[in-house]
Amino acid sequence: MTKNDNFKEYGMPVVVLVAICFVTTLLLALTNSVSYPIIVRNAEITATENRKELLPEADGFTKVEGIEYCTSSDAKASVTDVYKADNDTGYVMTCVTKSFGGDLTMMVGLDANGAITGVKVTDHSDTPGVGTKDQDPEYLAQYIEKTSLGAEDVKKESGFNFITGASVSGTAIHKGVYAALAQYAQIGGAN
Amino acid sequence: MEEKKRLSILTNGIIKENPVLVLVIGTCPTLATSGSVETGFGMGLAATAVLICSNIVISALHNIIPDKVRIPCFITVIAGFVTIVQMVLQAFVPSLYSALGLYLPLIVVNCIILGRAEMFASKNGVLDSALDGIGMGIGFTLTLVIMGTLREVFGNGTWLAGDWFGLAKGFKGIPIFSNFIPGMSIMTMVPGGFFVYAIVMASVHYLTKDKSKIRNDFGCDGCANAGACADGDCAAQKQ
Repeated sequence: MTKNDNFKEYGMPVVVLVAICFVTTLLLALTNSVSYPIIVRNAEITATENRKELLPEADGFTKVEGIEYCTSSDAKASVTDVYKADNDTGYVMTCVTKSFGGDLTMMVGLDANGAITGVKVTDHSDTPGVGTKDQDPEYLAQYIEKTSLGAEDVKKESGFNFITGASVSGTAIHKGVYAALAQYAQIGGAN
Repeated sequence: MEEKKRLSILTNGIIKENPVLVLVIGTCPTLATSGSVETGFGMGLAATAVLICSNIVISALHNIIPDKVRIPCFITVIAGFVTIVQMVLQAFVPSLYSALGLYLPLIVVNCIILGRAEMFASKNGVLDSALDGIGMGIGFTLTLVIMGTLREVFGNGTWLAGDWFGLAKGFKGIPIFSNFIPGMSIMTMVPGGFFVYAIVMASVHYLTKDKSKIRNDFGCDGCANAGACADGDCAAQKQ
């Protein structure tokens, strides 16, 4: 086998594959540079809309800085940001919690008295259908007006209709709400 | 003659060589996203966009891609386009992006796209491959819309419900049965998908009088077990 044949046999495939990967990466980087700022802006707009929906009385929101974020006892759920209503009507907190299919992002609204005004799941990777039943507004409405929860595990919570067969997602959400309430207590209410 | 051939490449994908109903490839996304017309249509459009682009690029490059690494090369090109489509959708059509969810990155492993790259684009010219991509894409989208219609009408009692990519936010759909009887939710779930898939497939074969290409090509020789078939029964049955 000559040197030229060797190159054709073993060198060429490598060169072509590397070249194709390089061009693809270049195109991806180019697309990302255009789409990324728009995606971030969209996410910010949606987050503000969600905060407004959970705390309709608020006129605007400011991020609360310099606080320590609460996590659940098994570290599966944690508060990732806290926004305070500009007119002191309450807080909206974002929590990330481990659910069946991976991270689940949710928002919890709390009024000035520490009562929950709403819970909303904003991002998840759970199986559509039974796994997302815990994200229905009707289900999440059970949290409204609660000021405290009895247990971190949704199954141990008294007087609560959790979804049988989807208790992983239900517990994940429950832990998120629990962490949000703990966070509220930690920052000492809406004063 | 040339034009007639081109037209047949374009129309082949719609019925005669319909990827889902005749070639029976791309079954997973079909069953998964045909629960409603909106998601089916969105999936069809996204897959069509990737299919056309990847067909064009692969047919343009087929002379320089060595045979040994052709599958990795095809997958890289396809994955690149899928990621681009994903980023574009996330930025400009977030409602469709969230509706398709997990199925969008899974276009990478959609058999239709790799199948057409291997079966058609790597052996034909750029224009023909683009036409093949369009035809196959139309066939795929059409099947998803038909299946989505059946599943949504019977499963939900409505038709065309959804945000429609942000154009009709919160549209509840045209009520077909929903005012009289509750929907049979099994139709929107996977078992209903299989059921509707079988019915649509059978109808197409009935309406085309089994003239679909695969059926004609498939005989004893096409069977994987032909060699191992006991006492030549296979050949006897053929006659």
